[in-house]
Amino acid sequence: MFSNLLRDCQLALPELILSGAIILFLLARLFSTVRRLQIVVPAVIGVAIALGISIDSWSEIASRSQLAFGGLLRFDGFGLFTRIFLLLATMVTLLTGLMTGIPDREDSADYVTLLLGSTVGLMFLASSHHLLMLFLSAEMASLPAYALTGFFKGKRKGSEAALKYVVYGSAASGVMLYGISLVCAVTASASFSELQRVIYIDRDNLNLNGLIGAVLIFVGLGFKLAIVPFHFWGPDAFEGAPAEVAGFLSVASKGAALAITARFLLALVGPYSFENAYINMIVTGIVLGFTGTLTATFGNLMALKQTNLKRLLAYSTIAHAGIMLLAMIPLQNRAMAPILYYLIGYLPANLGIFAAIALIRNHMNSEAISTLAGLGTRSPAIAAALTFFLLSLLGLPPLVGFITKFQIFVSIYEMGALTGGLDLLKIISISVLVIAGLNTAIGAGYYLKLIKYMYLHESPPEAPKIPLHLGYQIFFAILVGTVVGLGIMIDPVTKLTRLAANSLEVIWK
Amino acid sequence: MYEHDLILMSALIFAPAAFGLGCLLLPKSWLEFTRWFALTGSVVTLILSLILLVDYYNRLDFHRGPKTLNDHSSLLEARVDEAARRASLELPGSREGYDCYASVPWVEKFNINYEIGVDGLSLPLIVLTTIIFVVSVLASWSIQENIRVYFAFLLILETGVLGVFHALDLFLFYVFYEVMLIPMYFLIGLWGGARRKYAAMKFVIYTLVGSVLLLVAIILLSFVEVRDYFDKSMVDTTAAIRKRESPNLVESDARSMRTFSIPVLQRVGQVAMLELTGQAHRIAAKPKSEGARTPRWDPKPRPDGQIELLGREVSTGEAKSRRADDPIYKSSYQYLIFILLFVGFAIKVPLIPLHSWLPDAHVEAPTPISMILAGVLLKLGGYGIFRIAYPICPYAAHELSGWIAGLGAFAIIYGALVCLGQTDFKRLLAYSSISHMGYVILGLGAWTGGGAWQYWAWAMNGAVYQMIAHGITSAAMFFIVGVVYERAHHRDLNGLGGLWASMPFFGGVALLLFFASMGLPGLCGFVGELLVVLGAWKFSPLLTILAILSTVLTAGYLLWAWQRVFLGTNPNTAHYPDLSLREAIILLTLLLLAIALGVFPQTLVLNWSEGSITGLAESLSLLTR
Amino acid sequence: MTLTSFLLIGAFLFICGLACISIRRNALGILMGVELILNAANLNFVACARYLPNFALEGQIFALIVIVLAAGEAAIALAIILNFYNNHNTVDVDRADELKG
Repeated sequence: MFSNLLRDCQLALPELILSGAIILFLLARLFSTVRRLQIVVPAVIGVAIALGISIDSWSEIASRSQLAFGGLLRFDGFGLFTRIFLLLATMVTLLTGLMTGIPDREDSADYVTLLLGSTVGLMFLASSHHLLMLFLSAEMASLPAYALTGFFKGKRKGSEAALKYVVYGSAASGVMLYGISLVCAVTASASFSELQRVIYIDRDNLNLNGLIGAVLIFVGLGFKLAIVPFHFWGPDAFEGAPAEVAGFLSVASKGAALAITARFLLALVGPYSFENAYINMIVTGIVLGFTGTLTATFGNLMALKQTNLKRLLAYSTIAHAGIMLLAMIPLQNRAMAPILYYLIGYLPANLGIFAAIALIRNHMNSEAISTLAGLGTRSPAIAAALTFFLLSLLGLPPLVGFITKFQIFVSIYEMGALTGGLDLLKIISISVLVIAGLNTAIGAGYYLKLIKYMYLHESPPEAPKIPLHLGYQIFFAILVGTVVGLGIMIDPVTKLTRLAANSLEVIWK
Repeated sequence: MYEHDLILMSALIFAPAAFGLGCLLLPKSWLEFTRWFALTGSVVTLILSLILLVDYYNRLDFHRGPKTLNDHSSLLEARVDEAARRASLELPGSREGYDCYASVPWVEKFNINYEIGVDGLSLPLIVLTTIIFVVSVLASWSIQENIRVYFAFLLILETGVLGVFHALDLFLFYVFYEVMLIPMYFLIGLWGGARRKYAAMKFVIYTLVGSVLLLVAIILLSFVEVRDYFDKSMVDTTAAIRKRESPNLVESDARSMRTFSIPVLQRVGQVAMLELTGQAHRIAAKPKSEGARTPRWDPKPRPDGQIELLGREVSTGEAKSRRADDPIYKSSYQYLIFILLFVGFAIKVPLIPLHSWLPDAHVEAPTPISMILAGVLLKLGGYGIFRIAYPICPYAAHELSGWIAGLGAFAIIYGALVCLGQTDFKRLLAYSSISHMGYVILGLGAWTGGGAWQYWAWAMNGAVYQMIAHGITSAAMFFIVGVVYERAHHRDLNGLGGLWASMPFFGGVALLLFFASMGLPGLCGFVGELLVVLGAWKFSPLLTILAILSTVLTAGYLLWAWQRVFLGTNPNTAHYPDLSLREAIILLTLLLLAIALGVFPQTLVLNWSEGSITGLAESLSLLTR
Repeated sequence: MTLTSFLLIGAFLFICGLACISIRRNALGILMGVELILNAANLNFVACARYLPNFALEGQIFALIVIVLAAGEAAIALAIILNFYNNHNTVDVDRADELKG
């Protein structure tokens, strides 16, 4: 028993390291000498150690998935990949904070503990194999996020955003918990494996309660993903939150939520080979296709008319979540590979944009789109980096956004191609494909609008230049390099993502 | 000499981008040097393209009589097969010349290759591109602001265009197609006229919608099961490798093949056409190997009417049963894919209902960019239809050919009529481009089929020739506008006049170029239009008569425009200086090309381009009953 | 009493909570609605633990953890509401209307 616990702890070592770091940073406030230290740097080191351990354990975990802590968590390639993704996102967020001076020395400990706490929650969320763990880690990730949204206590907008986020967020998690309780009443267990067993073997026990429960859980997850119609908190929270936090929310929390949605849906639908899995797959596929296209189209259309940068990006995030939802349509392990690629490509682009917004806000005290006017001449380095990020989000080759978009489109069409003779599904998949494609063109409307502001508009007379010292030039250069590099070195990344996705194989055992 | 082809063509594609990035590294104050540097870059590219042309010319055995499917060297598909055949041999055989074809794996998971090659269809356009870019770099001397960035974008744009003309892999094609978008956006948006933001945005949105349709079609095509189109030995090898990697793979999955390769997908489309027109018995496999010798593939139909479209040693029966499940062989899919591809490219051509971005883009773009836009970028749409839409979906193309030819004829007349009402010089030329590109679509649509395929071959050759001729004349015309604009600072035809008096040399050169654009015999515009009209007559006399009649309109609006610019007296224009040396060089070069192409069409272009185009027309026509 | 009757009570509580969330404009009222929903779920868990032998232990643990979490959530939510009150002098969520679009 004890040796088991030791082994499990070893598997969860990165999470434990971060938790230890949180405790350390909280205790550090007790001592007056270290109270005024900038805590961000040690936090970056902590994250880096966790990241190193995660990468180190790749070959071991990716080849052999295992359940830990009595089946609460499942450590597999998929979870590990998401975990590395989350740690990278946290790292970039912390570095952005260091660059923009949010937080200052006074409150850096608060900021860092909240951020790391949220990260730990997200990491557990991505590896959950049990409904209790799902709920617990979702809450653990959300509670610090509520606080981070309202991190500037004196700001009216910030407090309003935090209020909306916490009210809707806790309502959504309540709904999700109620759904879990209904599902448990049917399956008499909350483990994903049990869930699948009941759905496919003990079918007699199934009843309407279970379905309602599953739908309510999906509503809760949809809220985390900001899927239409549960998206309304997103833009408000993003606009009110500091840009650094908004970036974290849009990348890390979306990524973990997608990962757990993939796990949950795969558990519900099960491997393709099962009897009846076929029907479930089609129904879920149609639902996903519908919500996905709706979300993507709505997000893109709303983004067109925004004037606040963060709000615009919030809608863009919603649109991207819709596209990633579409990628799940085939509902098979290997369909998750493009999602992982999408996430890893989305990370540098989106966090880079939020970092640039934070920098601009520091110097111009505004986050309106008009602050970008003439940035191309004022701060050519930032403007060039932003252009790369935006074009990658738009999905133009040879940037990473294109290859990820391409893989997802292929994956969408695969649904139609797999399902043999059903013409209806083929028509649906092609129309989903066309709508998703046209969404790219709508997206061009606002991504290019930002580029247009940077290069084609005159800069306002009093607009300051934004200095960028060497360290941060390197920071942006690395992000841009990732955006370009991942778009060209397609084979190695695809190999990794496929390996990770394949580890989702049989959830059941 | 596989490496030779690979290196030469890659150098040709990427040389401009390398010089473009080099421009960015130059110090800001070296204005004059930057210009010369960019000019060097474009001239180097031109020289590389001429080397490629010579290579290709050497390959051809053009004293053997009329170029048809017999001619292996000019038919791209045959060369691709030949390269694959030779690659499979243990000892590569002796080579007569260069293949002008190369393929390197890029993304193995999706079987995406860096597959490039040229034939008589793309090579004239490649040379046209390099010439137009040299000329437009020369025309860019008057650009003053930010010239490092300007030339960088210009040269990266050239890489995109050349890449599109070289690409034989749909994915690669799409990547290059999109690479052009952003440089073009900035070139219009940063150095354009008053409404440049609007025009640049409109250009991008239109182009992006078109390319998204392409992307959808490409994805649909990438799901086609193509194992029957590769040689069995190659599929065996692939299956063995896959089985070694994952032992519990099912046999049929291990043998499954997907591809983005245009030459392979072309054969899929041809098989689909035979299948859909009830001629499935004509589908045959390529000749089998005899011992160690693998015979060459002859694209020509066998005496019994069978066409060798499947890979070597593929069982026709199994291939037939596999086709039964694949939706690509259904007429609905053929129509769907064809329409996606055709609309995607028609936006670029631009064809009439989708054309509204062009006048705006032209009016706002700076002169050199207008030259490139009219001279090169519009040809991408036509090229795409030639290279991708028609060969990959011949069934739908044949069924819809009446509509396509009708659209082409309509574009000719509509464009010409709208021209008559224009007062903005550039807008007039933009609509004249639409009208001229209509001939390309008319020539493509005039699919007579069956035994009368020579007529279609004429029309196709005419369409390609029209693209080249229009590339040269429209670039020249836009440069003429630029010259006028630089002196008058407006383009209003009613406010000009009397330039003949102050600029007699310019007026004379311009008149000749206007004639060339009008299609007067002896100048380049004539050849293309004549061939198209000759070929299209067999298809539909009515459309042809309409097209011929509209040449009267063309002559009308062009002469009227020339008259409004040059004749009369106008005190405002009396002091204009005549052409500078640089301007004269540009115009005389283009004029020389226009005359040479008008007088020696056979020697200069058709000799080496005709084989491929006629071969394409023939191979598609033989599919009809 | 069977499991179903407990589930029905749970459902009633859940609907009350939802109604409370959607009707009340006072942030504290909404928070109470959330608590109702959480308790509805808790009731389900405990009832399941009583009636489903396989779930006996898990159900109780679930309920305990949810109670703790509800406390944590309330703490954060109250802090944020207090902060909102400091900035806006109200806890009426309809007055939170600066962010829209």
